[in-house]
Amino acid sequence: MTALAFLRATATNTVAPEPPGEHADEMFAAAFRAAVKLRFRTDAPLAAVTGSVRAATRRHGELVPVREAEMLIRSALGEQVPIAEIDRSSTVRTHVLLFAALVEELALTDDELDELLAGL
Amino acid sequence: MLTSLRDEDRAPVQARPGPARLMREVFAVAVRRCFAGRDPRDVTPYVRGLLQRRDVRTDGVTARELEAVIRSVLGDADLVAGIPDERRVGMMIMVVGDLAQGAVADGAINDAELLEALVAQAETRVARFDPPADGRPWRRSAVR
Repeated sequence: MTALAFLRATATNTVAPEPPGEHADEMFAAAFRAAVKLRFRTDAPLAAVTGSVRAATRRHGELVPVREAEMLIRSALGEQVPIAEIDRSSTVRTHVLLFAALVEELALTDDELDELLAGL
Repeated sequence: MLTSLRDEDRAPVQARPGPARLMREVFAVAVRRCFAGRDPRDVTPYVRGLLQRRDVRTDGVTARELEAVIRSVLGDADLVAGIPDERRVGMMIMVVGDLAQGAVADGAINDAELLEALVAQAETRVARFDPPADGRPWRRSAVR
């Protein structure tokens, strides 16, 4: 539950009530995949993907690992891309920050955000 | 420059601004002539093949960096953030050599002529778009 609250807080630019907990990675990954599939069709132009990564970078700066973020999105869309040798920190930052960025791009209402998180 | 490309040795261009600038231009010419107008996703399988031919892991950080370096001259310049210059130059030399080998394998030109032509076009572009600040005409001898 704390992982979902953390994701909701990040996506709504509010303070998380408590840390996400040590076992939040799987929930972050699931939320990221769900947001990617909502935001992009599988044949989306690569420029759209890089555009979303760029938008996340504008908001969060160097916290977003640009190459890894793009490859993780493309992998979530089913492409065969190089995603080995990505450390846990980069993976978690991509999952959480890109989740927030994609929710912003989708202009989800708070209710829709809750619905998305509840479906994980 | 030609020695670097033939031998895939970055020593002649390393840390020397003129040759490094020219190498970036040679790289841009070679990559754009192969990939401009194509789906940028085509770079991914090309990189996989290049690394396979060199017995280098194809699914890790090298593949991501190599794709970023190639796409940096196709409009995605911000992808190369954090890759050290020296590593970028080494990758550029590797890619130019590989693309040239591919073109030679297709016939029509030998590798010496192709590399000469690439360097000549790069020199023209540097002279046209990035002349020295002091106003001197840019010459090939200036970077040797």
